[in-house]
Amino acid sequence: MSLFLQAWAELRQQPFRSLLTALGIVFGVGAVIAILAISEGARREALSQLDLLGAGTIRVREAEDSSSSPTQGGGMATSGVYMRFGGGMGFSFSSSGGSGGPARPLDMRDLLALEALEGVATAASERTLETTLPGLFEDLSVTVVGTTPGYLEIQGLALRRGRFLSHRDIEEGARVAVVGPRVQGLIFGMEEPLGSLIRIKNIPYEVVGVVAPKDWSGVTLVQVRDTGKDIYVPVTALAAGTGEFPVGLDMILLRLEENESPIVWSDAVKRAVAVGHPAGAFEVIVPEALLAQEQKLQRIFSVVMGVIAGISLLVGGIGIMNITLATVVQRTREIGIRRALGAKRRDIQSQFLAESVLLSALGGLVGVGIGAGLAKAISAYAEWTTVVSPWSIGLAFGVAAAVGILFGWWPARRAALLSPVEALRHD
Amino acid sequence: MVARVVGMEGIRKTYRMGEIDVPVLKGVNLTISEGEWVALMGPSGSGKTTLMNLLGLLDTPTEGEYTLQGQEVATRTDDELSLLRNRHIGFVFQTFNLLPQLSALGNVALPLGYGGMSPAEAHLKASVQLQRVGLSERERHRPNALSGGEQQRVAVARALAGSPSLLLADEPTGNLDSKTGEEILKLFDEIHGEGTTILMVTHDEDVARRAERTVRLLDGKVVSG
Ligand SMILES: Nc1ncnc2c1ncn2[C@@H]1O[C@H](COP(=O)(O)OP(=O)(O)OP(=O)(O)O)[C@@H](O)[C@H]1O
Ligand SMILES: [Mg+2]
Repeated sequence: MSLFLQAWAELRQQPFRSLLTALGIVFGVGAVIAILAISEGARREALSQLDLLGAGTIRVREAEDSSSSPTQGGGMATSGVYMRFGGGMGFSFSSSGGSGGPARPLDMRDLLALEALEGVATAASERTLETTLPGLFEDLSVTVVGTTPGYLEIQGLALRRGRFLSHRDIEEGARVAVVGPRVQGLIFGMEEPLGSLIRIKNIPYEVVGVVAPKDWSGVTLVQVRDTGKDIYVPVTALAAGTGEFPVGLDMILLRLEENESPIVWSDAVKRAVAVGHPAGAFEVIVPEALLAQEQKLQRIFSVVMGVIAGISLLVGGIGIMNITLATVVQRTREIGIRRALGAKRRDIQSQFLAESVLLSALGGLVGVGIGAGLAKAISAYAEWTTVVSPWSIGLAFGVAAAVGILFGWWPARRAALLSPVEALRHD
Repeated sequence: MVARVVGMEGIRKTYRMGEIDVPVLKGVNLTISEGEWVALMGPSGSGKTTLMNLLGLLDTPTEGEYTLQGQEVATRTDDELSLLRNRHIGFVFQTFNLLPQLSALGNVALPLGYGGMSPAEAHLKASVQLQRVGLSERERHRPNALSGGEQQRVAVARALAGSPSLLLADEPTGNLDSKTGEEILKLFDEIHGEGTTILMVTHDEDVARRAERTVRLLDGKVVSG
């Protein structure tokens, strides 16, 4: 300990020189901290996104822009576009639906085909209908989702009250509804929602359950909707009035059996859906695959930053070696005096090594501060999540100390091997 | 019989300058007994400092036998020599050779620290030594805030801190005016009175007369003493 106190006293003699010498370490460590903060932030963000979207889930939906796909038949071009019918009833429904128009890219047959795949544990449909309902204070725009029982689990939603849709509800086309938390609050207020009726497209549905709120705001990979204003009804009931057969869908959600890779299964899913549908009419979304894509970019960034950090640390190390060599020459006489007073070679060596290690460790400390600041700035301007974890500080600090030992060792050794007489004669 | 501190026999030191050998010491015999104050004289370049370096274990002779406090030192490792220097030798140089970044106290405590003493203990003992040379008031001063005479007193205190068997002083008054030099010599009188064995290089016959015995180096050999 007194070794480092002594080293500190030496470094303080020339604060400006010490600072300049440590600059390479400062920037190197700063870069290391920033890189680790960015990749740790990205990792956590990815994990939380995956958690929100559900690990092992696959979404199959109408292609967002199927007109760009090389398919024949102009009809396909409009199939993905929402047509809105405004007016007195105040509702719109998605897709062309009904008779005469071009076929939807997805329908109930696809759901059954996908559910039959070996790796698929659960499948659920989503057929959405945007509408407004009279609320307590003002009209409330809601999303009516025609779906199947598996939806709750795949979306990672929880029930707050009552029950979710059952298989019997689907078979019978039962007019039952499960509402989102905001629908409950804004339509029923303090009243009991269960057993109450809500009218959708002028058809009454009995409320049988209320879903708990879920915060989707962390999801950036996929477009998601706030489920708070959802109303879930049997997909069969929602399509009942249209005479549509098979019932068209906007999206099919799948959850795979445990330990099945969604990236592997996405091909089988594509093949299954492709039967009877033109290519490009639908898209298969795998959160894991999107994350992998994003992480690939992250990794390139990290490698570039890592190389910069490495070069900076190397330059810093050489700087420390250089200054330690100069110090040894400058203080040759001091070395001679210390040897005359009984210092052993290792005393001299550890003295100079302590200085170079302390210098780089202090540089590392400043670097940690700068790196943390850099991470904060990146968070603020690039809107990336960054996390400066304790282990990254430990690592960066360790690297700095290692650079000090590595590059201080040789000059310190040279100092130790000086002959006492020669050193004393030096001026 | 008084114990022998230094015993040198047939000591040779030859420097190699490129292709040619330059013999400086050509067979020096020297004995110093415990409690003696010996003055070492000789013309410039006669090898006085060279001899001091050998006596102080800073350098090794080309040939010859040297026993310090009854111990043969020829076969010692570097670490052992460092330890012997620390235990048995005290150096006082013409140019003081204090470490400028350390206080007077820090300088005096230095050899004690290398001897394995804890910092607290070393500082306590160093403080006593500074008191002995009359510099209690200057403990916290850096060397550059001290006069030449004061610096040399600190150097003497440092040399004596570890109670060495032999105090080696190479022209200790060479850089001081005669009045300050006289003060330092009085200090040597005192420590000699306390029983310290002293070998002092000097060019001044008056200074040499204060010693009990004068050894003269000439042409690489001891000619009298
Ligand atoms: N490392 C060395 N290499 C070569 N020659 C040396 C070396 N050290 C000393 N000498 C030579 O040895 C001789 C004796 O030197 P030394 O310093 O011992 O003399 P000195 O008696 O102390 O002289 P002075 O009274 O001037 O201090 C000189 O001629 C010097 O040039
Ligand atoms: Mg000399």
